[in-house]
Order: sequence, then C-alpha cells, then structure tokens
Amino acid sequence: MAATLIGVFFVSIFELNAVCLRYIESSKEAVAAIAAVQDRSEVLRNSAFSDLTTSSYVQGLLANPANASDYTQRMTEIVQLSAYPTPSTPNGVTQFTRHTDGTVSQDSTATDLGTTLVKVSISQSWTAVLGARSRSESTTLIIANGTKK
Amino acid sequence: MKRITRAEQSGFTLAETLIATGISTVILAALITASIAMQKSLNAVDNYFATHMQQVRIIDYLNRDVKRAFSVVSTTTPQQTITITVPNYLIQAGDPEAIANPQLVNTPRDPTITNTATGPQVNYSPPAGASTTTVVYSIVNNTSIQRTENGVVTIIASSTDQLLPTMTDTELDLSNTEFTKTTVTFLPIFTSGNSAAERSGTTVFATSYLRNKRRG
Repeated sequence: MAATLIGVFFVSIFELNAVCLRYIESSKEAVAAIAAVQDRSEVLRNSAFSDLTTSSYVQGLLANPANASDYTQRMTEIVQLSAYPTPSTPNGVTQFTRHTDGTVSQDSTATDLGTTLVKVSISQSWTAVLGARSRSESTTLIIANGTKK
Repeated sequence: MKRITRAEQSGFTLAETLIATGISTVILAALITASIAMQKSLNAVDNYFATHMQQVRIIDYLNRDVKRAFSVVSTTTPQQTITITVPNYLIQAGDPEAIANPQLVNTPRDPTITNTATGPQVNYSPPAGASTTTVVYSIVNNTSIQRTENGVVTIIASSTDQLLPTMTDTELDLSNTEFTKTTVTFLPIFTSGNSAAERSGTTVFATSYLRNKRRG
C-alpha cells in the first residue's frame, strides 16, 4: 500500500511537470500564431492593390511562411479575399490554403475583386500540444486602393 | 491468570529497525528532492511566462513606433541600438499651436493635405519648429530594455533572463528602410546546458512596414 502511494506520488509529480512543459509549448504556439497573422497582414496590407487582386501574386506570396518561426511552419494558413462591401456574384471569395507541408492551393476564385476595396481574412490553425485541441487565430482587414500612407 | 511469554513482549530487532530507518530515510530524501525540484520547476515556468510577456511587450512597442516612422536605423555594436525617427504627430510645448493655446500640448495635430502631381500628400509637421521626434531603443546592463523619446526614458522590459531584441532594417527599391524584421529572444533560467538552443527556442518574430513608405 505504502509503495503504491509513493509510486502514485512520483508519477503525479512527473506528469505535473510534463503538463507544465506542454502548457509552455501551447502558449508559445498561441503567441506564434498571433505573430504569424500580424506578419501576414502587414505584408498583404503593404502590397500594391493590383498585386493583391492577382491570384498568382498572392499564391506566390503564400509560398513562404508568414515568418521564420518553427511553429508557423506547422500551421495551416487560409487567406480569403473578397470585394468590399459587396462580394462579387456568383463566386465572391478567392481562397488560398497554405498547408503544413508548404504547398499552397487555390480553393476558390472570386468572379471579381473590384478596384477600390478588398476584404482580407487571414487564419492560422493548428493542433495544440496541450490536450491536442484544435486552435485557430484569425483577423480580417479592409485594404483600399491608392497611395496608402 | 494468563502467563505473559517472552515472545509477546518482544519488539523489533536492531536489524529490523536499521532497515526500516534506512528505507524511511531514502523515501524522505526522495520526497524532499522531488519537492525542491517541483518548486524549481514552478519557479522556472513562472519566470518563463513573465519574460515571455515582456517579449510580446517589446514587439508591441517596436511595431507601434516602426509603423509610424519615417526611418529606422539600427547599430549592432556594442549592443543593438535602434533609432526611429517619427513625425511629430502630437503638439509639443513650444510649437506655434501650443503657444497659441497651451491646452493643446500632447493632443494630435490636424495634418495638412497638399495636392501634388503624384497625389495628395499628408503632412503632420508643425508650421514651425521640430518636425520629427527621435525614439531610441537600447539595452541597459544586459538586464533591461529602455525606450527614450524626447529625453523621456521608459523601461519597457526588465528581466534577469537576458532579453535580447534584434531588428533588421530591410530595404527594397526605396532608399530608406521599408520594413523591419524583429526577433526577441531570452535565456531561460532553467537550461539543460545548450544555451544557444535554449535561447533560439524562445524566439518571437515580428514584421512591420513603415506606413510612411508604403506604396499604392
């Protein structure tokens, strides 16, 4: 009985320590996701409007991860673009997915992204180390044509 | 009357006592060692998160200043110092607006918009006086990172974990820095010997574009 109790005690200690380490790792993943979304939005926001509305340009941009973090490269990134405020019909959204292996696929193509304003949604999703939960971080921004200062 | 025998009166032998004491000592030593290790581990986790939050704060400060900057210059010797020149968005004491109305000090200035051949230009400079402010980030004694703006010093991060921000100015087709890439690392207090790997494992990344350099 005593031996069992002691065994349980030590196993608990090691597990608690392991949970702490996984907690740190999960926190780092979350911060990396926030940074990745911000970094990607900075690059897209800075692009010329004509580039932003050109599928091949955005697809080429997504070939590189948002930043050099190892965590970012293990995330699935989805970028959606649509004309703002009224998406085009019949297809309103151009969507790209950057997979964890680094390949980029174009999932859909908007009929028209317009010439004045475009809505950009960026999402990073991953499976957290702590509890293997599905996590995602996303943002949406409106980017205007013209000299942006 | 029952007669008490020697067997019923007997206790533990010396050997039994010594063995029991030895086992107890080993178990107690293990418990104490485990408790100390746990305490150290919790302390390390607490410290890690505290420094991690400071990393985020440094990135936040730097990004805010870079985004509103005209230019960014960084030096790497002896330690990195980052000098950021920003327009005087706020009315300062001594500016014509402040002389006319002292209550306007530290309030945002209404920009002037001028139509030029290449499009409208927005100007935040005061009608007269200093048109820019210099913000300097520097590392102090390897333990803290300070931000100086107009002589006002703000300690934005302070830790014994050797926080180290590194910024790279990147030039594309413009003559000055167009965007910056920043990493902030620290050395956790709880390392397993390979400090370089331990430090790189804490890296937080950021990219920031200078809004005043952006194209159409």
